[in-house]
Amino acid sequence: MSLTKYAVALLLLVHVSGSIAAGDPASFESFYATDSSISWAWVAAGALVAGGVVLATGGTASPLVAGIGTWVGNMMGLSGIAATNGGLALLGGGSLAAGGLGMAGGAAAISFTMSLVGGAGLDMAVNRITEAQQQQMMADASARMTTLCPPVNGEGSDAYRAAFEIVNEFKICEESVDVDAEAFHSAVKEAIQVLKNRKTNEDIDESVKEDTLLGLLYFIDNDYLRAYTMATLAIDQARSQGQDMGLAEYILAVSSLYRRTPNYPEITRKYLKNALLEDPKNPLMIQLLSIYTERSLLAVAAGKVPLAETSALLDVLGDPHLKTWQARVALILLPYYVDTARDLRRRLGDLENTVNPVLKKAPQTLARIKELRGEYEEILLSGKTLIMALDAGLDRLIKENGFDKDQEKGIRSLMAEMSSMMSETANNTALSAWS
Amino acid sequence: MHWRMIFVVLLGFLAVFHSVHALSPKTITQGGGIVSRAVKYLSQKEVDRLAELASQSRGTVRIGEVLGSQKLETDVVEEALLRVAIKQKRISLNEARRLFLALRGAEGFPATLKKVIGNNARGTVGHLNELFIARSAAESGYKVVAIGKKFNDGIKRLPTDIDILLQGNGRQIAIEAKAYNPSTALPLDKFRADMDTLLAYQKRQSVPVLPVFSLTAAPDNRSSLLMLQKEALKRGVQLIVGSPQGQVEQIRLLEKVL
Repeated sequence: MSLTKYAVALLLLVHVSGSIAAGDPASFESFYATDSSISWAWVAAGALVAGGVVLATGGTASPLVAGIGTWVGNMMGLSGIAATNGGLALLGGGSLAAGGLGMAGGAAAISFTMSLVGGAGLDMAVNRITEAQQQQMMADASARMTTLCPPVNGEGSDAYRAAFEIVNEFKICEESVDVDAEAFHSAVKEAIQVLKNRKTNEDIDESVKEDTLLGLLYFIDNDYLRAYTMATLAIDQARSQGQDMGLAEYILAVSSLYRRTPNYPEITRKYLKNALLEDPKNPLMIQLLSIYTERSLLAVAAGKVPLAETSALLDVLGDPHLKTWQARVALILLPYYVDTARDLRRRLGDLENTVNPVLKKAPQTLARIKELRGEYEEILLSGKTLIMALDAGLDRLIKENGFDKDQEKGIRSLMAEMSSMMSETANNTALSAWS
Repeated sequence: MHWRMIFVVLLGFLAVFHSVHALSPKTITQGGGIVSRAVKYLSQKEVDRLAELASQSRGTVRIGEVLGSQKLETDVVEEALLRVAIKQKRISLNEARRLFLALRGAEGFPATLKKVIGNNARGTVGHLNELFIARSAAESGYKVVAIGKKFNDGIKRLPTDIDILLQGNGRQIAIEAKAYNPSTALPLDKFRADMDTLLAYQKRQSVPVLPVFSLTAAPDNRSSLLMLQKEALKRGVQLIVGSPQGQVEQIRLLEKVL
C-alpha cells in the first residue's frame, strides 16, 4: 500500500517537474513546442530543413561557386542547396518523417566526404588575414548557412508576442515553399526593434524569454556578437532560477565562435553539452549538430579555432545519451582532418628536406619545422578520437545511409590513411636529424 | 518493398537534381545585400561546346574568340574556363572552386587557364602547377600580382614571362616554376636561361625582388640537382623544391631570413 503511495507521489513529482521544464523560458521546448493541452508537442521538427534552405538561398553566385557564402558547403564538394546542407544531410540519416533527409541525405553526405579525397584542404594560413577580414568572412559565409528557425510558440509577454507575430507571419520553417528572404530578414529586424524598445519586465520568466528571443533573432539576423550578449543575459537570469536554458546556451555556444578568441573546448564541453543534454531526444538535434559543426569548421577556416580542438565536439558526443550522433559528426570531420594532416605533412616534409642552402642554415627553419610538427601531431592525436568513434559506429552509419561498397571503401581508406599517418609519426626521425 | 525502392530512387534523384540544378543555365542575382548585380553565367551546354572546341587544333584561340565576342565579365570567363577544365577531367570540382576563390581577378589567370585546357598535355601540367602555387600563395595571404607576366628580358629571342609574381612584405617575389617528372632529364641550359630572366626582371624593378626558381618534384638524378643548386647559388637565385604548399612555406621563410 505504502509502495503505491510512493509510486503515485513519484509520478506526480515527475509530472510536475516535467511541466516546469517544458515551460522554462530559455529552453528549447519553450520556443519550439506548442501546448496541445495534453502535452507539449514539438511542431518544428523536420521543417527546419526547409527553413534552412530558404534562408540559405537568399543570395547565389556562379554555378561553379555559390560565392564565399557557402565556403564550408563548397568544401564539402556539393553545389548550391546541397552544399549548404551538406552537414545537415549527413546528420539526417533516417526517414524524412523523422526529420531526416533519408537516402538523399546519405547520397549528399557521401558525395562531400569522397570529394575531399582529391584534396580540398582547409586554408591553413587564413589566420594571416586581418581581424576585420576574418569577421567579414565569417559573417558573409554564415549568411548563407543553415540557421535556427524563429519560434513556433507564441506564448509570452506582450513584447514577446508582438515580436513573435511579426516573424511568425512567414511560417518560414513550416512550409517548403519559397519565401522572400529579404522580406523575412526585414521582419526579423522589425521584431528585434520591438524587443529592443520594450519596457523592463519585472516578471523574471517573461524577461528571460524576451532576452532569449532577442538573442535568437540576432542569431537569425547574423549578428552573433549581440546574440551572445542576449544569451548571456538570459542564462544569468535563468541560472538564478535553477531553470533549463538549453536554447540560450546553444545560442551562446554558437555565437561564441564569432568572438575574437573563442575557447572552443570550454564552450563545447560546457554550453553545447548542456544544451544538447537538456533533452537528448530533442527533435531539433540534427539541426543543432549540423549548425554547430558547420560553424565550428567556419571558425577553423577563419583561423580562430585550431582544427584539432574540434575533437571536443566528439568528446561531448561521447556522452551515453548522445553517442548515436558521434560517428556521424566524426564522418563530417574525417576528410578535414585527413586533408589538414596531409597538408601539414607535405609542408613539413618539404621544409625538412629543403635543398635551399639559406634555409638549411637558418634557425627559423628549425623553429618552423617544430611548429609544424606540433600542429601535425596535435591533429593526429585528436584524430584518434575521431577514428575510434568511426570504428565504433561506421557499420551502423553505412547501413543507415545506404552507402555502397565503393563509398564504404572510400571512407575506410580515409580512416586507414589517418591511422597510417599516426603510426608513421612515431617512427619519423627527420626532426631529430635537424635538431 | 517495391514502394520503398521507388521512394529511394526518387530521393536519390532529388539529391542529384540539387547538384545538377546548380549548374543549369540561368541568370543569377549575386550578393544578398541592398545592391545586387545580375550576372549571366554560361550554361552547361555552352561550356560543353567550349570543351569540344578545346580538343580541336587551335581550339584555345577559337575559345578566346567565342568568349571575346560575348563581351563577358572577367570572372564569368574564368568561371567558364574552369568548368571546361572540369569537363576535360583536368581538375576536380573542388580544385576549380579553390582556384576560383583564390585567384579570380588576378592578372593572367584566364590566359593561364586557356593554356591549361589546350591540347598540349605537357603544357597543361606546367600551367596547372603555376596555378596551384599561386593558389597556395593566395591562401597563405600573399597577393598574386600576376601569373605568366609577359616580360622581355633582352636575352631570349622572344618575349618571355615570369611564371608567378607575388607581393610579399615590402618586396616582390618572382617565381619560375617547373613541374618535371622526376625521371625526366633536366634541361639545364633552359633552366639557366630562366634564372637569368629572373635576374633581368629583378634588375629592372624599382622595388626589391626575391628571385625564386622552384621544382615541384626533385629529380631522380641527384647530380643534376647539384648542378642546378650551383647555378642558383652563383646567381643569387633561391632554389626550392616541394609541393605548392611546401614551396610557399619556404618562400615565407626566405622572406624572413633574407
